Amino acid sequence: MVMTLLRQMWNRRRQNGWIFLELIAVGIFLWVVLDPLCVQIANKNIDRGYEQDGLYLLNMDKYGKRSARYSREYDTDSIGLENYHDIIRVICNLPEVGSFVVNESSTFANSGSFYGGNLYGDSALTKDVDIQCYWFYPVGGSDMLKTYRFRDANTGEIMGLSPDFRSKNIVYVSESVARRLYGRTDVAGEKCWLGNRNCNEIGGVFRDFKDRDYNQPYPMMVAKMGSTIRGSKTMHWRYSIVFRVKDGVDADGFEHRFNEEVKPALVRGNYYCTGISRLGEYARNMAEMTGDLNVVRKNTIFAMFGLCCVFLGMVGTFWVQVNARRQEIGVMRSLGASKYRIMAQFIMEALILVTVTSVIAIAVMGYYVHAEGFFAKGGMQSGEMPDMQYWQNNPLPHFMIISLVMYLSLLVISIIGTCIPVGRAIRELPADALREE
Amino acid sequence: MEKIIKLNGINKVYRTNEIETQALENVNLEVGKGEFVSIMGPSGCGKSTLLNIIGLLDAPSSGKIEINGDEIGTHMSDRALARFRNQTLGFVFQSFHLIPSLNVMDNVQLPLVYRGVSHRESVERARIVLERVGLSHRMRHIPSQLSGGQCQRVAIARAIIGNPEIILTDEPTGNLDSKMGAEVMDILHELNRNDGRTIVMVTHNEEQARQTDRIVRFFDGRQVC
Ligand SMILES: Nc1ncnc2c1ncn2[C@@H]1O[C@H](COP(=O)(O)OP(=O)(O)O)[C@@H](O)[C@H]1O
Ligand SMILES: [Mg+2]
Repeated sequence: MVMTLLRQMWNRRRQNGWIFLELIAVGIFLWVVLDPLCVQIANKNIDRGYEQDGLYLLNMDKYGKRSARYSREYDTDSIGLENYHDIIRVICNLPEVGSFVVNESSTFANSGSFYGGNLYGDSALTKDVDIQCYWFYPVGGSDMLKTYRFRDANTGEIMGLSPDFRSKNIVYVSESVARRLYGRTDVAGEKCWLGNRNCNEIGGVFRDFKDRDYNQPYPMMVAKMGSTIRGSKTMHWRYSIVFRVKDGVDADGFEHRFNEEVKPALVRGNYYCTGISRLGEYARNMAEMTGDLNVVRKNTIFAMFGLCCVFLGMVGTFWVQVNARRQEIGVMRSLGASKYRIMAQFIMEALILVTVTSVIAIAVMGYYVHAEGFFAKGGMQSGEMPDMQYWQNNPLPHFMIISLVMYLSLLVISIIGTCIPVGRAIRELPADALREE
Repeated sequence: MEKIIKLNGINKVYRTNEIETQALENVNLEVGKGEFVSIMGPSGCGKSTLLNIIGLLDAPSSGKIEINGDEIGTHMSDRALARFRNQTLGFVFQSFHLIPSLNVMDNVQLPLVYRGVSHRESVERARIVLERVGLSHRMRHIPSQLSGGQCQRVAIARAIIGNPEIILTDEPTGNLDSKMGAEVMDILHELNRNDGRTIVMVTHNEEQARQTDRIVRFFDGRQVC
């Protein structure tokens, strides 16, 4: 049966030639377009390692010297410090706020900045690890781990700072850091060295954490900065206040109340609050700014365009073929082929076409990817070793998955594009189909 | 004689936007088992329509068709109709209607393929029927490489490979010269005489018609004798 069909298609090669070439071209196009799209989606779907919902960033500003509200008298480091402590107190005393943290400038998720470092293990045998650092100030009552809801890599529980974190040099590292430095994740109590200067004790290991939604987790460390905040003239950008509202607090209601009641009154000295932003909004802006979202948008549109071409091509080809083969369909029915059987034969033809052309397109892409180094850097930052637990970092599974997605999407679209004209043609009475035009 | 085909009060009306054509009007026809019947009449009198209705390729506007004692018609499922065409009927058309992209062997096997017969067996039987119509040396050719007479012999081979009881043929020699036509008629007569097949043939050729058991004449959709 399949052999007969193959022979028949070979005899019809002139009629099938165009769609054959189109399918190969679109197959290659689709592969190229789907590749970054699938990687982006896969990266996006990796767990963030924290809970974004309920997290807010406090936006602060300072009256400039030309502002009518500026006061020279208040613009000292000591008064500024007092003002800032006051502002922090107001925030953490809001009934809706559950926990908060004061981060060093731009060391919070999606901040758009990168504070890097090198972490060394206690053994001379292991290589150091490039890490990203989140620094927090140990302001009374604040807890970065609890605010973000970092999860313990070993137990899965939400973490909190160790009780003795003030007196010791304690740092928290992500599981990929622990694995690289010690080969395991239960390393609380081990020693590590930051930039080969300070000796630190590991207070806990958290699950891999994504600084940005469309990036893969980067090896990360969370540590305290100094002993408390210090007064300066630029505290509004020096200190990023991130807080989490309690579970069950209605976001819209809280934001409304904050803007109506809290914000207007949150002016201390020359510092004033300009509002709050959801951290999710920040993440979205970041994805917008880095172009990650545009890759998703652009490639989705390209992929749909490619699939549209295939759809129209298949409908067109089979429409023309089916009209030209009307009599053939009539003959098949006169010889005892049921409608279902005829439909199955045409679907089989589409399937063979798509399979053969996909194999060719995938072979072309395989050659190309191999020539390019057979490796995709999908969503990693420079200098970083890929984490092999993600398929998108493994050459072979990566290639197979993209090829499979390409093949399946071509197949589905082609079959739909075949069923429409064939379905129309087999509704006809055989006598009408057989009549000479 | 046992009746294999019974038509009872068949009417067929074609409706187009402007006109209504009564292609068949109250046709009552019976064909006996093993009979060779020719249908004659001027062009447009409804011969092809009648043959298509007997062959379940077209549906009558009203009336009853019985084949082998079973009432046949649109009340049957597509699958049942297909099975019926496959097992009981064989068609030979004026313009051959071979599938152009299939070679002779594949064309002839189609009815058995639709019946689900094994590949080995259908190849075997295709060889036998092609031998019978004298074309065993042309099995790998495609229809466009054959003459009209050869095409029609392939069509006959295809019609008989499934051993149908009834062969329906619409002007089988209409597109052939007289020598090729005679060859085709010889094969049909042989099938009727030796295999006992029932044949209903539409023809314009008086001489061919006279060689058959019975002539049914039509005029303007009505049976005149
Ligand atoms: N599909 C159709 N639509 C409308 N009229 C038709 C159709 N098929 C046949 N007819 C009409 O029905 C009549 C009988 O046609 P047909 O059976 O083909 O005649 P014959 O085969 O005897 O030449 C003719 O008048 C023809 O024009
Ligand atoms: Mg006719």
